[in-house]
Amino acid sequence: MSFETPDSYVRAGNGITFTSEVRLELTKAVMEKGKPFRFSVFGSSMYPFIRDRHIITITPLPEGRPELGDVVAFVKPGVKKLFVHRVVRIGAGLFQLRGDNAKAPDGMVSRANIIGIVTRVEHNSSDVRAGLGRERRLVAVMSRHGLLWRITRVTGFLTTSVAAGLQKTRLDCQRGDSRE
Amino acid sequence: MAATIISDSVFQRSEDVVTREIMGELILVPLTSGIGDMEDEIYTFNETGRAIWELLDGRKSVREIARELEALYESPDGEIERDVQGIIAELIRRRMIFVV
Repeated sequence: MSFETPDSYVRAGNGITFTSEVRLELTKAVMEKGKPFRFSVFGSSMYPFIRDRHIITITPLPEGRPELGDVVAFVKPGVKKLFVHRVVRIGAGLFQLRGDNAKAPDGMVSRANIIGIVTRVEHNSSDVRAGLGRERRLVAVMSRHGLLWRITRVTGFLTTSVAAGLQKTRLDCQRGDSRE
Repeated sequence: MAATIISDSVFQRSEDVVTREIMGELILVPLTSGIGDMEDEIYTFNETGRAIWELLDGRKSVREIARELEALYESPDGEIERDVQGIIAELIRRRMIFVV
């Protein structure tokens, strides 16, 4: 084997796609060092507050947290995958978690399954604060009762319908123009 | 003079670097800025860089590391030590190692 040039020894890894299992492994390693960890998230389970490709910062869980409404990174027992959902109920030392856009909750998990807490959400270099402040408790209560999921469905349906209607109107106008 | 200093120097891997082997690759997440940042600051080594990284144990000098690698790899005289110095300079710049 021969040596390569120094420039190629260390490669920036931000072009690498990491699986959720890898993301979990790295998040746990950074949390063990007591430091925050910043990375992109994928999926729509926390829509509209955290969206696909938003960047979140996970911080080690402080004493006394999580509280109702906190968005946390956690693992489901037996599943080697990192999830980021909201605490919607606390009872008997267990935490019920649920995606804001999820039809059903994740179930109850112990504090030991919670890796860290989301302290920052970013999109296009700007902070996204909605859903992380005092309103997070109200969001949690709405999510617990499935209201958030239903609202998202209705608004999504309305948005899609309006967009479809606009598209139809645009096509009709184009056909009308071409006939003239 | 700077090259001599580096050759006799002993370097230690920083504790502010998280490393994990994932699918055969060594992934490094520096925490030197106070935060692990997968978006802007995550690295991997090639095989050569990894060999050097693992020898930076706080006991071996740069010259000793180069000698150890010369026993394993074919390379023109002096080239390996120059390359070791090169990667060490890069790791110092990224604050992943420090002088013991």
